[in-house]
Amino acid sequence: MLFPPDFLTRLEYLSMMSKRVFRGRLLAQRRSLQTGAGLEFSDHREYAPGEDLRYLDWNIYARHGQMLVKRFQEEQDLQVSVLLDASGSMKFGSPPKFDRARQLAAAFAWLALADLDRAGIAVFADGLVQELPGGRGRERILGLMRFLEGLSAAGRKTRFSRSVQDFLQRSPRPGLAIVLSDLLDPDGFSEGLDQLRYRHYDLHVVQLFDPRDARPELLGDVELEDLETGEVRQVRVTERIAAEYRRAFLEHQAAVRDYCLRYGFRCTAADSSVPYDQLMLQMMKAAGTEATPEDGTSP
Amino acid sequence: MSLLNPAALLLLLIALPVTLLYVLRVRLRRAPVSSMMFWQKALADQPPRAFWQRFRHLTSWLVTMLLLALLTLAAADIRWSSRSTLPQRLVLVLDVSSGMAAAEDGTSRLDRARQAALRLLAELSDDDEAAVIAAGTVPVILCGVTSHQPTLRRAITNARQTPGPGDLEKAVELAQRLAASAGPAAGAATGRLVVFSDGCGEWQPSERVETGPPNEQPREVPVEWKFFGKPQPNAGFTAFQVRRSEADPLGYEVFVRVRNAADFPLTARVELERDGIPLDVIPVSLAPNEEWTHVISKLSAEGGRLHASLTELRFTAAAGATGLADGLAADNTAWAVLPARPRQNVLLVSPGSLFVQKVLEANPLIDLTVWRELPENPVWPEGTLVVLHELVPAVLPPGPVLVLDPRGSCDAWKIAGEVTDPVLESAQGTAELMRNVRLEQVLIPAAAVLEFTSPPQVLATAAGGVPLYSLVRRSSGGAVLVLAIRLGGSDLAYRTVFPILVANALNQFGGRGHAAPAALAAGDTARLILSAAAGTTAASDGQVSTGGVQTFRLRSPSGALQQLAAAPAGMFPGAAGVSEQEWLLVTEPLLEAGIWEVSAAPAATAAAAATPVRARDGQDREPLLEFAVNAAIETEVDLRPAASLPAAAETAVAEPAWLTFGSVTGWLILLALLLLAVDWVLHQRRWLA
Repeated sequence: MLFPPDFLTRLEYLSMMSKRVFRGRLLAQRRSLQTGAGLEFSDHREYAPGEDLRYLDWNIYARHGQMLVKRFQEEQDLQVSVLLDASGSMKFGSPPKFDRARQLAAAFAWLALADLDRAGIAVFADGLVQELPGGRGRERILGLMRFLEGLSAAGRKTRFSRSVQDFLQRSPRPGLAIVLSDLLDPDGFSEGLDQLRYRHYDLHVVQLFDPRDARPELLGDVELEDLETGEVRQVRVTERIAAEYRRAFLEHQAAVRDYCLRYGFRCTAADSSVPYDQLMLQMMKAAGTEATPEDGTSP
Repeated sequence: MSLLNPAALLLLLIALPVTLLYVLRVRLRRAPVSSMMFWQKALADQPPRAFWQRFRHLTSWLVTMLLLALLTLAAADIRWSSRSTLPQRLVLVLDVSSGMAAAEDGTSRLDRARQAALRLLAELSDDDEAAVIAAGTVPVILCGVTSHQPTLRRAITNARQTPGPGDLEKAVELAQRLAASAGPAAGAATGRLVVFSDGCGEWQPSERVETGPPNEQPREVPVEWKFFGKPQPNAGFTAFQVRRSEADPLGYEVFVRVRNAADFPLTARVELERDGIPLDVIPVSLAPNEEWTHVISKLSAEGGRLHASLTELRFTAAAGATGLADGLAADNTAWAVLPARPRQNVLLVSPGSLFVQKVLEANPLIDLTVWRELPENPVWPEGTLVVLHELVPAVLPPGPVLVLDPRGSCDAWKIAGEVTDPVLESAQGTAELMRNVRLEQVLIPAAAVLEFTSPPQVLATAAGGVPLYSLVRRSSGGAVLVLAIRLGGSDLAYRTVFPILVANALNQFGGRGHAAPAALAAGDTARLILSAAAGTTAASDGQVSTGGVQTFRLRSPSGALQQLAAAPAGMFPGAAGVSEQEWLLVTEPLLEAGIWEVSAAPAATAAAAATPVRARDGQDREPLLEFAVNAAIETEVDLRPAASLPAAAETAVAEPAWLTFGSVTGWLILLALLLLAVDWVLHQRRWLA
């Protein structure tokens, strides 16, 4: 069962842990700097003809004869977008990486909704496959879970760059983007992440992998079947080849980690065999450790 | 090259399905993976294949085929042999002398010889035949010529170690006859003779046996020698004999000889016990190859079993050398039997002769009673030897009688006159009664001429056939010894020969208990003489004499019993040292060291037959005779192989039974195992498919 009966209870527990222990750093709670309709005064600017006279500061006009308009800091909600990989490679694993990814997506969404932020889910493979638009309110979690349950990892290739491109066209408003994927795109993952970075998205990359991805227990003559492309290849796996594979896999993980470190994004390599709540706690703990005084929070 | 089991070549048919399996492609197991991108990278980074790796399937197939070929040849029992294709007759001679009991690395020389012999047997084909001979004191054919391998193996395995020397020369001669009968003249098989020995002892292979020119002696077979055993230090008894004491008329003396057959000095103790009671402990120090001899005197006349043991035996090795142990334990003990010397009642009937009386009184084992005159109706005491001097009753007393200088006739003889100055014509020096008796220098002025009623055994005769000293066997039982020489004018009574003559007579009448029987060497056959009284004991025990042959029982030191048939010595006229009334027993080779006993056999009556054999055999019977058998043999003490081993000798090397050069089966299996290991390594390293 993808979402067991106590799933929400566990999510509530994770939410409390996030607020009390880790002070909500996982989603990096922050206010929008955009000025507009709000309650908190920000500054003044020159009045332009045609503007709403309600925002004209009459006290200054009476005292100095200058027509200045009051500006307020707009309280804008954080848009949390979960980019969920539904390519064929996510079917691999025990449990499948896609199941673990959906559980994590639900967990992240719940944390956002619990903070009164907006949470949306974009499902991608070789492009944007499905999307659950962002919304606010805890009551959305049930619909979100139903949405996730209805998903399946189709046997499609991973085209992360194109998928991000589709996502950005539909969601021009930046926010926090959480990428749940194994990032096994033969064309590379950096182009897609670059696009998000250019659009001022705050990124959290969760790279899922199965233990058999990291250390395949294959020796001798085998027939390898690519779950994304369906390609079949007969190979003789020797100790040397197995070692080469492990080295390539570690290099790939290191590349993702280096990219995120370079641009200040958060990155988590998540073993899909580990339960989702433990993964969430690990990520919260890591986020708390990484927190700096400039965040306005103290550890 | 030949194959003993050609049918095993059918195993090669396994190559067909194996090859088929190599030809057919095996369906590979499918393994789904998340992505091929890492595999492509790993496979792309592989170095180019080595040339030989292109043939890895072919190599694997070749290795498998080679393995199959080796195992097939092993099963077919391939032989590399220089011998002709004719069947072979193999005669194995196993030295089972006591020296072969010496152990090296926990295995005796005989066991090693057995193993080597079994290996030779294993090389025989179905057409070959073999025989097994044990070279003990007497060569014994353990198994006649046969091709039945289990029988031959059993004979070799059951070859019994003997505590005596091995007569290899006779054994080889016997083996020659067996092997040569299979020569070309005999037809089919070719002979082969192999001797397994330790090369110790004094025996030297003769030229005739070893290198006989085949043309001149076409029926002789060259001997193959296989020697076992390394030089080992050893010390042991080489002699342990008892004799009557020269100084003490009642006591015994023991002659002991110990030899240090080692290149190292030796310290030890010789411990003597009689019937379990310690008598003496003598420390002994011997230089390398030195012998120690000693005479132990003053042993009492009580008799008993004398046991000597060599204890605290230590070889003092050179500096740095340790662990020198005595090679053979069997020769560290020796046994001897001291016969009890019972007292004897003697009645002297004599009108008075100082010398006759003193001769008898001088014997401390005699209780002497003297009658000065002969009663009218004498009552002769029972169990008493009667010595009549001059006085002769009309009827001689029953039982043994010694008559000296008879002056009257009786029921056994009649005096026909007197001969003066008789000249000694002949004397039976070989008879026990005449032992050490020399009458040639004795002055004999006169002697009575006796006419015996029954023919006597004349021991000494004067010229003209006049018997001077005679033994008369009476039908009523009891022997009569008559010395017809007139003692009055003769110097016989003053000479040394007289007490000797009387003592011989007393010993004869008192049984043979006075003589200390010599200890025998293990492996010897014993020639035993039982007194007439022993035969009487057996007869009174219910024994039925069949054709004059009486059955006795021989008990070995370990308690094993065997029946012995004894014949009265009278059946063997001329048997040296045996009187007609005694019993002569000849045993089989005695293969145990210790004290052997001869006793009367259980009765063979119907009542006795109803008794279980075990119960009957368990009865304690008083032994009629005891004698000792020792492993103290001069030739077997030295465990160092003789320096002059035959030139063609081959020193046998202990090797596993399956590693024999004659049969390459062992090597084939070894090679196959090696190949399996290589194949396993190649598969482990993925060098082979």
